Amino acid sequence: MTAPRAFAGLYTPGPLLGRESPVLRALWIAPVVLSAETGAIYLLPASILPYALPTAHILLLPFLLLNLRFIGTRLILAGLMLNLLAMVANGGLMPVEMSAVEAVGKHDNQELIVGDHIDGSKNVLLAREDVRLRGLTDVILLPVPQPFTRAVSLGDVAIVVGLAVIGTSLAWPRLRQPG
Amino acid sequence: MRNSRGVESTAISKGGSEMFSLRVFVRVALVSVGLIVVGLAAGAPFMTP
Repeated sequence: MTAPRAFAGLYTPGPLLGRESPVLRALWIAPVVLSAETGAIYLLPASILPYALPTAHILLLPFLLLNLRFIGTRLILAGLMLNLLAMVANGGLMPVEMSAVEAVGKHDNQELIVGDHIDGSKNVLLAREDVRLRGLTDVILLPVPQPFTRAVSLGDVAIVVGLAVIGTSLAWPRLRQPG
Repeated sequence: MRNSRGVESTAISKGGSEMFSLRVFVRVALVSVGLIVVGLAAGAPFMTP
């Protein structure tokens, strides 16, 4: 298959990123949700974040449900639900442990208080024994040097795999689910 | 530009081809950016501490 034909799935007519785009429907929802999440983290008081952040994540559901014909979208949906489950089980924010924060190295540990929201993040710092559904929280440390080190969750991994699968299915439309 | 049978292509067809390529390029770029935004919105990995 030649390179141009590999992207045949992207040739389809319709407004770019528009509601009628047959490639990925309602893709405009994603930047709206990302803006809502970023705005919530940086503008809202910490007391509201446990409600605002899960709500913002839920706003992405219509996009995912409209694009379930992509196998990758199902993986992203699973990842999103795993992240939401971990957040809701721990009071609304994604828990992270001090060991992970130290490994990432972006914050001064002396300034952090266990049980408080970590500024500029979606996370709450919790002691290991207080974390519920620990396997779904940000316990996976990416093996990359600082400052690129990140603590991610199982849901995040599923999301990245889902994105890769969608990208592949756009390039090779035969991988796309019928319907 | 000549095709495989040695026939010179017209200015209109060359222009159309370039526009088509540009359209595909823009579309691929936007969809790629869109997918990255989807990932960020779903996992927000850049917002980890």
